[in-house]
Amino acid sequence: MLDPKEHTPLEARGLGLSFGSHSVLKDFNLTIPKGQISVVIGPNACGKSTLLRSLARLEKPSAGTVLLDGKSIHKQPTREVAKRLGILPQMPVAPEGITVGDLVSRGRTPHQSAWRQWSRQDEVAIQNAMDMTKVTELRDKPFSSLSGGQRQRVWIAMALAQETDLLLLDEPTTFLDLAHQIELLELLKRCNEEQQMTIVAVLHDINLAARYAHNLIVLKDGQIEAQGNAAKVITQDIMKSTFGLECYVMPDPVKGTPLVVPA
Amino acid sequence: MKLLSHHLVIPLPGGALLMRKRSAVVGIVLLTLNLVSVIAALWYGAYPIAASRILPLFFSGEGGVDQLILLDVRMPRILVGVFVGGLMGMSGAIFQALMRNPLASPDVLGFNAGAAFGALLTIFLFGSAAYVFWGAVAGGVLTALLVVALSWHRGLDLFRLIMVGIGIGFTLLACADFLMSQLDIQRASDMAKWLVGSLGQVQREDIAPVAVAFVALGSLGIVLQYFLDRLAFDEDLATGLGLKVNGLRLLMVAVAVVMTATAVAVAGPIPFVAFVSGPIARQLSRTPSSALILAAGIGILVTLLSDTAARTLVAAFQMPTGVFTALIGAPYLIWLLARQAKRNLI
Repeated sequence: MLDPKEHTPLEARGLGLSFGSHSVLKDFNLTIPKGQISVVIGPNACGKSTLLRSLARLEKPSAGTVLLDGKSIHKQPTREVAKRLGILPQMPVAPEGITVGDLVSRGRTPHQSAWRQWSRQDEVAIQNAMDMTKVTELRDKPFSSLSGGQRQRVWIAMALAQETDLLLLDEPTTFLDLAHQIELLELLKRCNEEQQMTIVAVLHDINLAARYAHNLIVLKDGQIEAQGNAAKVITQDIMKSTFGLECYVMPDPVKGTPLVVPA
Repeated sequence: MKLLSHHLVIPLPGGALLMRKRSAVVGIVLLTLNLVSVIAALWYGAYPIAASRILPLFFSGEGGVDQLILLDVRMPRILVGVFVGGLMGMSGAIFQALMRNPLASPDVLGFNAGAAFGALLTIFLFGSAAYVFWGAVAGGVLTALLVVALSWHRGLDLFRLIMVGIGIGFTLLACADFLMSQLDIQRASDMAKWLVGSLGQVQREDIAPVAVAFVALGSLGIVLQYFLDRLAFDEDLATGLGLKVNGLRLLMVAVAVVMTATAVAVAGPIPFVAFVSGPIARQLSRTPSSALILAAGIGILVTLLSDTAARTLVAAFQMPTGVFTALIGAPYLIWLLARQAKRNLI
């Protein structure tokens, strides 16, 4: 018998969340499979971001709970959670005047203290993170001078320096052109394959989501419409019922994953 | 060690501190400038004391006029200036870092106005200046509590805090004006001078409270700077890095409020020291950090130079220190507003 914890590092159980009288999630259940890339898709305002933010303990649920390794995420010390789970929010704000190297090194925060601001492990982790994301040459540049694609790689580097085995990303490809979207998703794929990271991302582009996700979560009005691999989830019917989109679904000529072509 | 080419690693037992090399250089320069300024301020004044006599006068028991001027008049004023300037510089730097906004300093946010109003209220109620210190500290802290409570919205809403703070500050200044109109003319004119912010009425007894506050709160601030620098990320990122954002923000606000209230209690709401110190320190050291130690150094330098100018430029007439800090601060405020308006930030 397999230990269930091994397979679901992150789980939402009976999760409810509302802003004022507007309820976004209601009695919501979800398990995130270990070592896979899960991608949440769905129409605007379906609760994608709220779900991701709840999973990362950025929103406090009004009912139910989020379990990290089988224990309530809100009952664990936030610093310990930060050693297990990294989050890249939708529009992260960098401190004014910070350089790339300084920014990436701040990912080490949960492993440091005011007394121990530097260690050999910090150096190794930061170097690895910058190598992986190819930002080593940008080290001394001011973050504000970077392009959108470079900035996003630097944020990922900071998250990698945190050395968590779970990484949550809220629309990481927004504002990037297609080439940079692919570059970023390839990077996430490598993180998943080389470091066995469990990744959960909210994406807008259904075709890219189909290409890179092992596990697709289709959300509508705070409910899961469908969940599973792309072949199972991306169908004409589900696209119609979720997005209200008339479309054809055909195999992607490159990867063979489903390709949505609007009718 | 390519990674740390711009930093010094200072080893500690079981840990290590990081310091930017440039910040260390700026720090040493500021320390030197401040030492020179202290000595110059002791020596320079309407009553001439030969520079060569300063050191002997500290240790001799002669008790003449020279010693009286040096030890009972100039030294307390200069020491209080050092501690008050340092406290205001750090307090401003903390607020600006917390709010991620150079406009957000305690003199802009109304906390200094609250401390001043508290001090005035004790004079009005008790008819003497005996409780001014506690009145100012209580006034500053209560104003901060009020502002924080009014701007609380699912956590500390920083934009609201700036708006509410500016509003409360003006209200309290109006209340202070009202109180002054109820005092007799001599007392009201003393108070008017105090409200501009001045080291002119400083006594020997004033040294201890600001010295204690400077050392205790300053050390606490420097320890907390590690977290303060990480709160410069947005709330989500800071939470993701494992920081207790609301708790840390409240703690930092508390430290900064007590810093500024203690300074105001002794020297009045000297304007713009808190406002200019942090940005100047960060510009000089080109650091993304809140640079509290350097901000303290700039605060001390600005206060000392302003106060020396205030008491010596017009020999027969002691001007309040705040007049000269305003001469430095007001143009900077105008420049900053113009720059932010240009970038459509306000």
